[in-house]
Amino acid sequence: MLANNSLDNSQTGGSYAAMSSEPEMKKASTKRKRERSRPVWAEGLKRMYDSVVDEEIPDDFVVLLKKLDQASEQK
Amino acid sequence: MSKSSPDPVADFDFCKELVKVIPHLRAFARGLCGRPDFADDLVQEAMLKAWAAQDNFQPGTSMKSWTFVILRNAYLSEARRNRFRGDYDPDAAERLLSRPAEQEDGLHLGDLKSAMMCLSSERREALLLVGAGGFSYEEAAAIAQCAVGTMKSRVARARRNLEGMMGPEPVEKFIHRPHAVTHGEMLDDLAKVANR
Repeated sequence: MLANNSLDNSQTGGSYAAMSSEPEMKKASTKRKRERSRPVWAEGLKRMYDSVVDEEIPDDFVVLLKKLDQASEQK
Repeated sequence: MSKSSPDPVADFDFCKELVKVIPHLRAFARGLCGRPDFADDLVQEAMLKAWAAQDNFQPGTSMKSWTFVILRNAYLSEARRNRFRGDYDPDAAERLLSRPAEQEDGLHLGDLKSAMMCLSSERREALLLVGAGGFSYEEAAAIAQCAVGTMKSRVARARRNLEGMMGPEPVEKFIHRPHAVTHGEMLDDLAKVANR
């Protein structure tokens, strides 16, 4: 794998400098594309889910856990 | 704490681990059935089942995944009994499509909730697990008991459905967007949101 990479580099060494700006251009255009199709719903979905995760656990859950704990003591 | 228990340490750990996943179980359940009261009933049912089956839990594996499977099964058997039938709203998608974008960020959480409930339960589940719950495709597939590729396509389809319903120009999106959204792109989007 390493050997292959260095072989590739030496073979493309001549054009490497000319090509080096391409990844950045690509990155910028991808970013723009992402922003345009920004998935608002994905963010909203995460927000919706997290808002439930962040809620305090209701009392009846605590009661249930206590019951389960007592049940295991009696086992 | 439990003098008579043969293995108090294991019991205590199980309880602690179970407590830790409750918030996630509640979020998953609410996303699945769309109703807080039903969701909490489901979670309590799942907790009881998990407790009863705790000997089957292998320490070192994910309590979250394990309990999600139990919760999912509880949801499916309730769904089979049509308990959630009232939640499905066939007109919601149409209302969403005909409504102009009103907010700057173009998102009403109420609309998103309706849109989620318009998805098939398989796609909704896929989006909840991967998009919100932070599971990998592999983990989500294990929970939903399907192939990884199936999970990927469910997420991609759910994504397209939602974009069709939620996007600023839904019709244009349907026409011009490439038919197949790459999974990499999906994951990137989700990772961006998840890592915020």
